Amino acid sequence: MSLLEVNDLKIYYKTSRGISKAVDGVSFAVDQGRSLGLVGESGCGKSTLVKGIIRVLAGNGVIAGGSVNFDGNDLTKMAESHIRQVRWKDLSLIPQAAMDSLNPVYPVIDSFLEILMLKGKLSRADAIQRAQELFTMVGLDTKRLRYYPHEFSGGMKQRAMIALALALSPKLVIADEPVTALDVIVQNQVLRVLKNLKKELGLTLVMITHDISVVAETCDDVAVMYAGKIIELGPVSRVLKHSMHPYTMGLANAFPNLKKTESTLISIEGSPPDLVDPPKGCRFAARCPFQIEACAHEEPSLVSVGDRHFAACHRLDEIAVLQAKAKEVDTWRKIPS
Amino acid sequence: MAENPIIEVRGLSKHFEARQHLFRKSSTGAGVLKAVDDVSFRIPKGHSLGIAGESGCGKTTTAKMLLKLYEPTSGSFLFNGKDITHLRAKEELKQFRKQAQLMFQNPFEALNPRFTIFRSLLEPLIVHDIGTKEERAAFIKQALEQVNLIPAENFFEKYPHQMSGGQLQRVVLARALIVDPIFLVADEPVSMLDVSVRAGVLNLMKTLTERLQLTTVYISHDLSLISYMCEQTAIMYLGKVVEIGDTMSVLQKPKHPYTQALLAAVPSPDPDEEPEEVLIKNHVPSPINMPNGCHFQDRCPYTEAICREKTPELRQAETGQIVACHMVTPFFDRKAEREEHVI
Amino acid sequence: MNTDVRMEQRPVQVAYRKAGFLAVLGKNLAGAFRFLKNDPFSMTGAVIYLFFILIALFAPLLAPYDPHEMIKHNGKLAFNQPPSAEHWLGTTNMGRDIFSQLVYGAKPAMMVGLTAAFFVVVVGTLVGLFAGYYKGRVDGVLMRVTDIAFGIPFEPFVIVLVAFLGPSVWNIVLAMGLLLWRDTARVIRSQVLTVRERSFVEAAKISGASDLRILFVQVAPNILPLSFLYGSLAMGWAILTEAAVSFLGFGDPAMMSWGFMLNDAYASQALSREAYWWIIPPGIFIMLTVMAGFYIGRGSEEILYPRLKNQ
Repeated sequence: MSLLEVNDLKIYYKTSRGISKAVDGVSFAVDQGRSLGLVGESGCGKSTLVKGIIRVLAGNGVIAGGSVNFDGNDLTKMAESHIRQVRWKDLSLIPQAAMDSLNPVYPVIDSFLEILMLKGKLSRADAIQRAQELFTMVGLDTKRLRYYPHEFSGGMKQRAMIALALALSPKLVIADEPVTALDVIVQNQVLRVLKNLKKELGLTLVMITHDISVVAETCDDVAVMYAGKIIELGPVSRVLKHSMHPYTMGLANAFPNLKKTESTLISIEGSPPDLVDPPKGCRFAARCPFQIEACAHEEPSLVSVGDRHFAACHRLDEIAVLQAKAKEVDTWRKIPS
Repeated sequence: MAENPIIEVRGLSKHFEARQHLFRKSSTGAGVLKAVDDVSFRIPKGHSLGIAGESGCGKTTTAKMLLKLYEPTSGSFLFNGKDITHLRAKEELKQFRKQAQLMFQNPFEALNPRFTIFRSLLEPLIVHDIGTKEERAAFIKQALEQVNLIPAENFFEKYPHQMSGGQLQRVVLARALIVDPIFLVADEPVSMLDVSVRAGVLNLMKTLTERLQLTTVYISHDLSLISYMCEQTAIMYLGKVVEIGDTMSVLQKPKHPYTQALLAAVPSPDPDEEPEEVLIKNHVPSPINMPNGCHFQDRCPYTEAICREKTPELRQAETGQIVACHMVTPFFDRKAEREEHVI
Repeated sequence: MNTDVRMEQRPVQVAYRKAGFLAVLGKNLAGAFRFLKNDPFSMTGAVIYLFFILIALFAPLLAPYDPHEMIKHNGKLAFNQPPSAEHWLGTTNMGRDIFSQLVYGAKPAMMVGLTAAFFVVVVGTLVGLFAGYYKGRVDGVLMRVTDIAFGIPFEPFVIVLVAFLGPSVWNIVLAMGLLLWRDTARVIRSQVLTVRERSFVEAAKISGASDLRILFVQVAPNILPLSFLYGSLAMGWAILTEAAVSFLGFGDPAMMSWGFMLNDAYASQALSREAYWWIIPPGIFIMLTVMAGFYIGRGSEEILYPRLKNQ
């Protein structure tokens, strides 16, 4: 059985304009020791999804259906007091704004001691030793434990946050855009730390990012989200190199590649639908160059296309033709509205 | 070069007094932060230069000097053949402002939230006294159509918060182009935008700058963006240009160890590609009171005694670009040599 | 497009430019109104203010008697009367109609309130705008002046000034105008400090706009809602102060005000005679006006952070 199994999860927000279906029937599973990248544009629901899994949704957000099976328990049904014990110990989060996640008035070691002694029930001496281990693990000098957060650079803070997330050897680590605000060289160092940890500790990782390259370099599997749904899911090399969904194909076109300087970038015209009133059929239909009659009426479901690879599209049977067409600039120029 | 370059900077520097705060005196001491230090380049008409580097490398400060938002500490700045390093007359500065424009990083901040799109585009026309009332409306319509916001009238009365990031960035571009500039600086023009709309904005900028024969400077940390947009590339590190030349040479056959590291660090969207190893160590040191010699000495895998004594000068490498590194000599491939060492 | 043609400045354009600024101002007022409509508390506050302004304007029509008139019934002074059909709120110990006094009392309250609010908005906004935008020496000088204004205790200052210059409602307004702008100036300044760093201000600079133009065309519209807000708060403050000063006996004797009514009631021992109809109505009216200011103030968060509302 998988370590994390999300089944038909629905997370809705109450807004002044109505109910926004931020995550609408999402299912996926992550096996022990694997890493999954959740990719999508802003507003696609990837952050909401993760917040829903660890149950830290904003006040107006509710889990409207589905289940999250983590290590044999359904997190959606767990009592608040119980889930607080699970967080950090079994399931920890590397937050997006690592810069602000360490309390500026205490030395960094205090944040570690608090977690290790309070949640990990370690003695002070053991906790200090463990904190030093953790710092070494992420490649930071143990002397820096006594420093204050403002004496850390952005990359160091991010590493410290990774170390903190790993403090109690959780079964699953969720990283929310862990390298977004970092410079490339630092980004490379942090990703390398994550990759090594995965190899050495057998860490199970779910990583949210908007950058396909980051996923390509760090994850085993990838789930592509669009407007509150997963539209394609599978092993990274399958999804990124043999994309089965027009949106994924479009994303690949939109990304500049240093190695392929001649190719023209192609954008996907239009913008994602309003999630308060989503379209009846496929949510990508309005921007899709391959849209047919059925796309407007019927929502495609996520079906297997072989080799643990899933996609949600009505035209999967003609996929080879679409894949060839998707590489042409003209295909994406005029969209039937 | 037959024509005068539009932009020519010689030895441009911007130094800040590091001691600005009353209470921070003790931690850093009185020091000078050389945000930009002795930078020279020229951009011919219609060409584009990309300036890349990590945060704090001085690329944004350079851009601000090119737009005369900062006065350089030393060096000279020639714009369209005219020395404008120190502009005293208000009229001259205003004339320059009409010719040099900026495309902002964050489109959600770059437009006044209390102005309609029409009002935002009208503002530069009013400031520069361009056109009558009717002509102005026509100009605005034309400017919006130029950036593919069609039909333009639909956007006139909209407020920024009613539009998407991609649309706003087009408006920002339209506002920059409405005064008919000859020089455009784009500071991370798409980093705040979603991937699927980035390409649209970039392609639009590419077409328009070509059609209007605009001279452009792109500031970005994203090397793939620069390789897509620019003919020339400059890599900056701690206030200095360490490598500059044709984009093809700089990004395909990098010579400076820092450029090589930057390129190796860029993740590839191809999952089957083996990631390259980044050879540099440590973190970016404090830019205040830099030691003698090469700024990169503490992080460079090839540092030798000379690097700690002498600041390297910019010299031409055999691949055409200009590099500031003592260790770069013709026919010297450091990577190959390092592998020999490993063996 | 050919924009190299430099047009000569024509009167048409000047008019157009002015219209542009008025349009911005107009939109801001329209925006403020739209905001009022959406927030029930602010709306209540605004309605209370409007109600009192109308009373002040039409006091001679609404009041059945002259507030200073000593009313005689059948040649006998009608003093200390409880509410009746003839005297809705009874009479004072000198036989004056309390309801009429209450109605006339709205006039000085609104005069003081509106003029004080005007001073606060204009002076405070200008000081805040210049200090925040120019920073450096301008900021230093203006903020030190503000500090001095903060150092002066408000009510004693008003009393002393009125004692010196004579008990007139205009001197009370002057005293308030001299001091009350200080809070507004500080808040506006800090707001300007953040607004001036936003890139649209830099954009205006790059487009060649002058500092004054940036200040009044780009920055000002973004802080005007805050000025209006502080104006409405100051209105409440001013009315309260005028009442306090009158109650202490430094008020304008020629003008019937709520504070004067309370002073009169207190001095003639209305409390011990349990003449509640004399004490409570002016108290409620003072409270209502102050409350109205704070009700409008409740909306401040939404004016300052419009995005909060959408989330």
